[in-house]
Amino acid sequence: MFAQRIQNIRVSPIKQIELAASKIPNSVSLAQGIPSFDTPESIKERVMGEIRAGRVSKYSLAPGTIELREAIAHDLARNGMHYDWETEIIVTAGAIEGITATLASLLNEGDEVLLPSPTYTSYQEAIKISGGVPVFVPLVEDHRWGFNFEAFEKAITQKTRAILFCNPNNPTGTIYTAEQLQQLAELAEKYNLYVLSDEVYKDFIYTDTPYLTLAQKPRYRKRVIRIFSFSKAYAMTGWRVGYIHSDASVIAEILKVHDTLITCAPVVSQYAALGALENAQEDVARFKKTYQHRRKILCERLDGMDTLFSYQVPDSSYFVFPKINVAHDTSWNFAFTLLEKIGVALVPGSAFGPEGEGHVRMSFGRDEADINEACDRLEKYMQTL
Amino acid sequence: MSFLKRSVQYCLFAIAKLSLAHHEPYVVVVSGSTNRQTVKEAIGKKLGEAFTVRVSPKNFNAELGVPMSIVDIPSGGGSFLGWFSVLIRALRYAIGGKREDVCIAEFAVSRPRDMRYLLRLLRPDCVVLTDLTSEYLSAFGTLETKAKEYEDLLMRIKANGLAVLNQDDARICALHAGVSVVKTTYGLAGDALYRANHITSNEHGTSFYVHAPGLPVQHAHIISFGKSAIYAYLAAEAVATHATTHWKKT
Repeated sequence: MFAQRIQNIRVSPIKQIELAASKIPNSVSLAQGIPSFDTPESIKERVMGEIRAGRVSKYSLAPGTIELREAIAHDLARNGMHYDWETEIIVTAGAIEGITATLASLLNEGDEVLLPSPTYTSYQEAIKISGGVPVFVPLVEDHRWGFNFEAFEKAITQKTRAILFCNPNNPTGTIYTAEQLQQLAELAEKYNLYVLSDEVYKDFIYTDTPYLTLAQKPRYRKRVIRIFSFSKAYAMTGWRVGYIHSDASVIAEILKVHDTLITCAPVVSQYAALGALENAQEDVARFKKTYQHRRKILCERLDGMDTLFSYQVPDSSYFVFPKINVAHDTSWNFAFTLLEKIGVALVPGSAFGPEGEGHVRMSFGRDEADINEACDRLEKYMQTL
Repeated sequence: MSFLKRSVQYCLFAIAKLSLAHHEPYVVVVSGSTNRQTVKEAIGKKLGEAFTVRVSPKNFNAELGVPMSIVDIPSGGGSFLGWFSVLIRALRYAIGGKREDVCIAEFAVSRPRDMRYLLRLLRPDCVVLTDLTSEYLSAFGTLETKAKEYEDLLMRIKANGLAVLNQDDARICALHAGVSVVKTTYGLAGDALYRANHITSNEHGTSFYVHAPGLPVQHAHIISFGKSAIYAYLAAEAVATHATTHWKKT
């Protein structure tokens, strides 16, 4: 009855576990990557002003309002990325719409997209819905979940069209080094692949290493499509607004799909994004400081659970991705057992690709009380094993 | 409008006026429907080679933002104390020692008579108009009503001032007809006084040749992309020529 293309598509395991958790009274969730904060007041005030002035009720141009695209271009330029706001930026309904529109514009039926494993779970579905085939390439856990270029090169076939990755990586919190990014770009150039770089966690980095992106390298501007979302950095997950940028020749093609899918990003959210860029940088710094504190709390609590989990301290994002140290069959069953027995929702590592098996993802985007309550329950559970 | 906002706006307006009267900077106003920020920053960069320059930050372009940018203060947020503290800071700026030689302000209009309000604050030495599009048109009804806002701006330019108009935008060029002010034009069209041609781009940016009145043709390279960046470059050249001949650094 329904299209063959969607038969292998599933609702994200993250949302499945959240749904299951919502049915268990008194459950506590460290599953979905939702910031605990509300959208900053300055953004809300800006939006309310625009609503009152009657500026949000009509479509914007398909690539977004001029003011926002100009503000984005200036923000990019401050970070060493030079893109024309008229022809090289599209405001999207969150990162995932930008990614899906990009994949739909790039892929023919059966084309392959390389995904580091583990990586953000919804990429697989975005590729499949665009007629593509996700091909997982293992990351190296012992090297802080870094790229394995031999494995990447081995995975490339005549059908390979693109590499899609997030940097910093969700779920591992890895920040890929300049050398790793350079090698990845060289590989893409050698095999004529596009590189989709999803950078939604770039504002939450806890090391002093300068953050680099391939979009800063002029040589790759026709090959790299960079994706950003306001959801995480500005606590705006519900507003559904982000953007993509690349060379004009690439953006012109993606725009056709974006226009077909959503006409334009919600105008009210575009004003929120403008408010974010104009007035909310102090809030981002405040969020980062809080997440850094919560990371410390969660890691200290995990230190006391070493028979249950072993972990690497994440350099970025708001996730820890510990390995399960106790006997279990699959991370999926392990996560659901935890949910049933102690009411703690974690995301099974297998949701992020084959290399995620044997792990769970824990979010410290949630508030301290939730983190501590989840850890208290996990400690008690550990004592029963 | 809240009492707090009204009071802040009133005080801020007065302090910004005082500051301009006290420091007498060369004032550039950038206005138009789009590309204001790019033009503003290009002018700031160009004039920065010869002058000290204050460029209005971000989208500080309306009734609160413009005076805030003139006296170099951030937003005071939603609290009385927050605004009280920034107003004190603004006053210090206004009556303090020497400030920047050049003040570059951005004027945006989203309703009829917005421009008149902003023009009570200052008279520009130089105005750059980028383009005139249907952005926010619903509040104006017609493009003619919106165009009237920009005519008001041109009419307030000081006697020895300059209007820098985008020759590629027919509506902007038509504005000049009813206004008596010295003007120059920029654009890609053959009849623009500041003109770019032979435009090429590669991954490192955009290259072009610049034709300017009384000057030899020059090759330029910018690390930006798109027509908007070229317009900004040309407008900055035009403003710089006027600023260096009409305003001496003290």
